[in-house]
Amino acid sequence: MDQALKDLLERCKADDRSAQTALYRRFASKVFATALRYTDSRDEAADIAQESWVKVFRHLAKFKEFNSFEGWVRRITVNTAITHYRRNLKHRYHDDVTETLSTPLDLAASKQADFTMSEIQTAMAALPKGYRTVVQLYLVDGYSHKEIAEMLGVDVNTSKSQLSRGRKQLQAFLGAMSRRANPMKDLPDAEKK
Amino acid sequence: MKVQFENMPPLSPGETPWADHEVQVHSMLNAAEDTPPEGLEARIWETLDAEGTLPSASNRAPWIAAAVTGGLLLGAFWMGSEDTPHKSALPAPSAVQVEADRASKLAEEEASELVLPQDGKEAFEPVAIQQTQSPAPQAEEVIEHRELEVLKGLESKAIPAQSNVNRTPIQTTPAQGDTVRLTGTLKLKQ
Repeated sequence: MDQALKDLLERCKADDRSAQTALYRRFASKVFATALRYTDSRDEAADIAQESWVKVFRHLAKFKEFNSFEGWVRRITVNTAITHYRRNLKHRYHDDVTETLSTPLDLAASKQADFTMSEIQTAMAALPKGYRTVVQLYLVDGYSHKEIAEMLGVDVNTSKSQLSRGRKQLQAFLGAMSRRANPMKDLPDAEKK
Repeated sequence: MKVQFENMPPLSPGETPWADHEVQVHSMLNAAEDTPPEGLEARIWETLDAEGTLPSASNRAPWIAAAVTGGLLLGAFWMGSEDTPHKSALPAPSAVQVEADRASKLAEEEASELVLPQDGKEAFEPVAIQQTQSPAPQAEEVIEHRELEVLKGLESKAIPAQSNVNRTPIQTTPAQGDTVRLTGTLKLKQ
């Protein structure tokens, strides 16, 4: 951790509002992007970010310097987002499974990763919410299946199967996007000519 | 684009290895940034300021504990004070022997005890709740009730003791009493 951030955190612990403002402005866009990954609306993402920042400032005294501050803030944000997700959960995972199985899978995925942020976000947003949440938690935020199961209140095997299906869906969506952008990409060289 | 697999989360045995596009998803979404809405910062400070003016949950805990304890103590006190009038009402048959000033003194004491918790109602929230459910008029009712008892006691004491003396042998031997009355009737006929 750099010295400037250490000093900033010390001042924040002393309830220095200018330091808190500086800390917020330094990490606000990352926190908001993390919150946005777990929701469908910017309004709800703003609520999650607000709640997360309040928790950050309230519990800053508990933060240990040997930890990564950014990682700590992100964990708080993800946990807050999952709390919102569970609160808003109106349908169970089984609904997602049915929905996904009816979607035709395009397993001819991109062999070479070359997607824009917009394409990735669109593909992630197209996943059923249950799959998306598990894929985000495992693939992006690095939680284990055990941790995911505890966070979502599901079985470890459910988390594993959700990840597996979500990955296939993601692959299919990205593959379809890749072909739309470059229709000749997956064709054999002979056919391209 | 060169993908870096070393930062990827570990996979369980049997799971499909990470593909290039997944590594890209991992790295791009981890580095993602998005400008938060304008009013968010102000909302955070507002929430923090509002929390700063209120006592935190840990600070409130002793007060809540004190209020609960106070409520329990008050409840026990009320139960005790409710029992007392019944107890004093039970020995009413022997109220003839109780001095009037002693009974009125007791009534005054109880009335003052019933009113006493009102002084501390601000410190203990449960007290305020109880008082809204059983307001001061109840205490007045008790006082009136006690005063009536005292008056009754005075009236019954005012009755001459002679009649009691006369009645006592009749109560202990009721069969003899009947005989006496019959004798009297016979005398009148003669």
